[in-house]
Amino acid sequence: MGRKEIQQNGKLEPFNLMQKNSHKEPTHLFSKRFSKKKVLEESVTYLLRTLTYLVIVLAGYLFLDIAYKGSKAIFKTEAPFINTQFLTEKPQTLHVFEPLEIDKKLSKIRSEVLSLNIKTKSLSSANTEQAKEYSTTIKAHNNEIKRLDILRKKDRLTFSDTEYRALEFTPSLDEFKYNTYAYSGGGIGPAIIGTTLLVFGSILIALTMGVLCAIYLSEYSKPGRSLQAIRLSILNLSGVPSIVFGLFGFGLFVLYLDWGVSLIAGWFTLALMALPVIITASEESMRAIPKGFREGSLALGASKWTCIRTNVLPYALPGILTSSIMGIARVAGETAPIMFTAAYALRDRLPWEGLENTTDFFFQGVMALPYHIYVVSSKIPQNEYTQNMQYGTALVFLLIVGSFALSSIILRAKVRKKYDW
Amino acid sequence: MKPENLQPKDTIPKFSKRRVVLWGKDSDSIIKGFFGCTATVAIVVLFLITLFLIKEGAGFVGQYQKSLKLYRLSGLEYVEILKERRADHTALTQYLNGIKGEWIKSLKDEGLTQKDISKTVMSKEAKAVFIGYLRTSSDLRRFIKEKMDTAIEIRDQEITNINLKESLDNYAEKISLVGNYSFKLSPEDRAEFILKLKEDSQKHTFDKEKLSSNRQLIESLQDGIPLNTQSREIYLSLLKNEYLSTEKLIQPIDFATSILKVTNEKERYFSILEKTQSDMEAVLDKADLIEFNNSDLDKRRERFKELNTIFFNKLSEHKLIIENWDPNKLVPFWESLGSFLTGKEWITASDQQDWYGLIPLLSGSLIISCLALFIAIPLGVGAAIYTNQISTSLEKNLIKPYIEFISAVPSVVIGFFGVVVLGEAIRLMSQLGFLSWVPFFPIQERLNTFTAGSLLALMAIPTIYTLAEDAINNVPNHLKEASLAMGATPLQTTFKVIVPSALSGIISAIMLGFGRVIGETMVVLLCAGNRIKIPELSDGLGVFFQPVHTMTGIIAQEMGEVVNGSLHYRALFMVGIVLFIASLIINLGAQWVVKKYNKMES
Repeated sequence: MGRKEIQQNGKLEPFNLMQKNSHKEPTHLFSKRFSKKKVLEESVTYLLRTLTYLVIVLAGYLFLDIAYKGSKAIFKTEAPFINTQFLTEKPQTLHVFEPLEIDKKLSKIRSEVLSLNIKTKSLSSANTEQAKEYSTTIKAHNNEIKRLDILRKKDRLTFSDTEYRALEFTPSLDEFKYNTYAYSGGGIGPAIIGTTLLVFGSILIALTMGVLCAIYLSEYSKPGRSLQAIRLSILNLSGVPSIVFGLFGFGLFVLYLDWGVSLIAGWFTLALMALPVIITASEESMRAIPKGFREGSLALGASKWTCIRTNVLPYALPGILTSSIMGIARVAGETAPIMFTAAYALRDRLPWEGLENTTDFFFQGVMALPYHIYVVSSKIPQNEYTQNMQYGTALVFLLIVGSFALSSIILRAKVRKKYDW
Repeated sequence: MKPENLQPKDTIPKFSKRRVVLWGKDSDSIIKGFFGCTATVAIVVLFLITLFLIKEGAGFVGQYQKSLKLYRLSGLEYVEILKERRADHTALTQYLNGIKGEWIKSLKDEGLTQKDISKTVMSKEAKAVFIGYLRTSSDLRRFIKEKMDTAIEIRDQEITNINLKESLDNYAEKISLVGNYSFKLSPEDRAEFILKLKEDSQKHTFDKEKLSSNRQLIESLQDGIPLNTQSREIYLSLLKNEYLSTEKLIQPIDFATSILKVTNEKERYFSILEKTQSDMEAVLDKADLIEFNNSDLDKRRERFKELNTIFFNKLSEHKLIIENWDPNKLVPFWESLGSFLTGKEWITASDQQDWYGLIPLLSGSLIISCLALFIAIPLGVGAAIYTNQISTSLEKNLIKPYIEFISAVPSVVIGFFGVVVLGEAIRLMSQLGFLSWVPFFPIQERLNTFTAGSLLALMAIPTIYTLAEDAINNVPNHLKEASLAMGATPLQTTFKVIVPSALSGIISAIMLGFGRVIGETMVVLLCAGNRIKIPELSDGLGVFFQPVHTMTGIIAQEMGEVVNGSLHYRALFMVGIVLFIASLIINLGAQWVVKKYNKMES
C-alpha cells in the first residue's frame, strides 16, 4: 500500500516536487518525500487501524476475563483436570466457615484503616507531616490484612449442601464464623441438561416447519405481490426483539393455553423466534441454485418432487445447515424468551426424575444456563465464594454457544467457496 | 446430477396422467399440498403473534380509562392537585437545605472546627429560618393527609364493590349450572364442596344432627360418589347462602355525596394556605438577619426569595383550579391512551393511584441506544472500512470471523460482565483523584446508562460491521478502478468514491444496529440500574451516568409477577406493542433506504 502511494505521488507531481526540493539533497523520482497530504493519509489509516484493533482488544478482554476466572471453576490441577463435580452436580447453597479469631482481627484492622482514612481526609492541607504518618500506618495495616487473609483462606471450610448434611460434627460456632451463599455451591448439571433439551426441541420444531415452509415458498408458490409481501413480513419478524416473543409465549402458552412454565412452552416460544431466520436463510440458499438445475431435471421427465429432492435440496443443504447452526446459537443464547416461559431459578430434580406420567416430562419447567447466569449475577452478592459459580457458568455457556457459532462461521466460509455459481 | 437418475427405469415412455393416489390427486399435488399446509401454518402462527399482542394490549385502553375515571370520581385527582403545592414547598425546603449545606462547607473551608460550625449554623437566627421554614407547612401537610385518606377509602370501597360484584356473578353462574340436572362434579368442585361443608359444620357446632350428616356427606364425597338429588340440594343451598351473604357486603357508593367529603372545607384550606403564606413571609424576613459573609450565599438567598415569590404568585391560580375542578368530567378513551403514551410516571402497586406512562421507559431506552450507537458507529464503520479497503488479506481473514463471532456472544454473558467487571471499573475510575475536575464525578451508581450503553455498543458493532462491510464490498469494482486511474490516492478513493456509493448500505446497517440495541433485554436489565425516572438533562453529560429503566427491561422485570388480565399485565403488553412497532419501523426504514438509493443510482 505504501509503495503504491509513493508511485502515484511521484507520477502526479514529479516536476513540482523536484523543483521544490531542488535545494535539498538530490532525490530520484521514487524516493520518499514529505508531503502534508501523505501525513494526513497515514494518520487516517492509523486511526482506522486503531479503531479496528480497539474493538478486538475490548472484546478480547471480555473473553479472556471470563476464560481466566471461569477456568478456575471448570478445571482442576489434579488428575482428570476437569472439575466433573461442577459440570454434573445440582446447584446448592454454599456453607462457609471462616476462622472467627482471624476474622475478628481482620475487621478490627479494617475499621482502623477506615477511621485513619477519614482522619487523613479531615486534615487540612497544611498538615503534611501528620498525613505522612497516617499513610505509613495505613500501609502497615494493609500488609497485615494481606497476611491474615492468607491465613484465613488456609483455615476456612466450605461445604455444599449435601456435604454439609453428611457432616458428623458441624464446626463449632465458637471457632468459626458461619455464612451461607445461595446457588453458590454444587454445580450446574441440571442447567446444562435443561439448555440442551430446550435447544434441541425448539430447533427440531423450527427446522421442520422452517424448511418445509421455505420449500413451498421458493419452489411451489407463484411469484407475485402476495408472495413478496409474505417474504417481507417474515424478514421483518426476524428483527422483532426477543422479549416480545417472550411476552407472546408467556401470554399464549403459559397463561392462555395454561401449559404453565414448561419445557413445551419454551420450545414453541424459542422455535417461533428462530422460525423467521430459518425460513429466510433456507429460502435464500434454495433460490441461489441456478434455474438450469431444475429445468434440466424437469426436461428429463422428473416430477416436481423428484426434481426438488435430487436437484435442489442436496445443493441447498449446506446453506440450510449453516443457517440452522446459527439458529441454534441464537436460540441457545437467548434468555428473555425463556425467562417466564420455561426457566426455573432452581430445580433440584433432573427432568426425567420423579415423573408420574410421560406427559409430565413436557409440562415441567427446567433450569437453563442463560437464566442461571442471570440469577447468579443479579440475585446473589459478588465475593470470592460466589465468583466460581458465576464465572464458571458464564464460561461453560460461552463455550457451548461459541462452538456452535464458530462451526457455523467456518462452515459458511467453506460453503461459499464450494458452491459459487 | 447423478447418472442413474437420467436413465428411465421403464423403457416404455409414459405420457399418460400420473397415477392417482388419494382423493383423485396424484402424488405430486399431494406433496405440494403438504408443503402448502405447513407453510400456511408457519405463516399463520407468525401473524398470530401480532394479533395476540394487539388483542392483549387493546384491553388496556378500556381498563385504564375505568381506572382513571375512578381516580377522578373518588377525589384522588383533587387531592393530587392539592399535593402540588406541598411538593413545591418541599422543593423550596430542599433548596434552603442546599444553602445550609453550602454554608457549612464554606465555613469548613475557612478553617473552623466542627464545634464552631455547629454553633454558627444552629444559632438562634439561623434556627428560626431553617427549622421555622420547615414548620410553616405542617398545617398544610396535615390537611392534605386527611383528604387523601378519605379519598383512598372511597376508592378502595369501590374496588371492593367491583370485586364482590364479580364474585356474585360467579356464584350466580355456578348456581344455574348446579341447578341443571346434567351437572357433574369436577375434582375442583368436589374439593370446594367439601370445604364449604366443613365451613358449614363449624357454623353449626351445636346442631349434632347436621354435623353428622355433613360428616357423612364429606366422607362419601371423598370416596368419589357422584351428586344425587339430596346432596345437590345441599350444595345449592350452600351456594345461595354464600350469594346472599356476599350481596350484603356490597355497600354501593354514591359518588355525588362521597366526593363532598373530600372537596368540602375549601374555606378552611384557603385559610390554611393564607396562614402558610404569612408564616413563610415572616420566616423570609428573618432570613436577612443571618450573616453569611459570602457573596455566593447572599445571591442564593436572593434567589430563594424570588422562588418564594413565584410560589406565592401561583397560589391564586391554584385556588382557581380547585374551584373549577369537576369530578363528573368525562374521561374519553383517547385520554387514557394519551396518558399512556405521554405519561411521565410508571408507578405500580402503590396505595394511591397506579400510573402507566411510557415516557420514562422510552426515554431510558432511547438514551441508552443513542449512547451505544455513538460508540458503535465509529468503531463498526471504521473497522468495516479498514478491513475492506486497507488491511492485508491475512488481517481481513482473521478480523472478519472474529467480529462475526462477537455477535454470537449471548447477551446475558455480556450483561454479567457489566455487573461484575465494567460497572465496578467505571465507579473506581470516577473516584480517581485526577479525574475529579469532571463535574459529575465521582458517580454514585455503578450500574447506569454508561455501563449498559457501552456494553450494548459491543453488541451493535458486529451488526453494523457485517452489514457495512457487505455494502462496501458490493460497490462495483469499476468505480474504484476508475478513481485510481484518474490519479486519486487509495484513501481518496475510499472516502470520496467507495464510501459515498455504499452510504445507503451503511445507513441501513446503522439502523439495523439501532434495532438490535433498542430490543436488547438482558444487558439493560442487568446493567442499566433499573430506576424508573426520566433522565435529567439538566445534568449535562452527567445524564449518561444516571441509572434508568427501559421498555425491554420493564417487561422482563415485571412480567413474572403480574396477574393474568390485570391492568398491569395489559400495560406490559402495550409496551411490547410499542417495541414491536418500533422494530418494524426501523426494519422497514432500513430496507426503504437501500431501495431508494438503488433506484437513484440506476
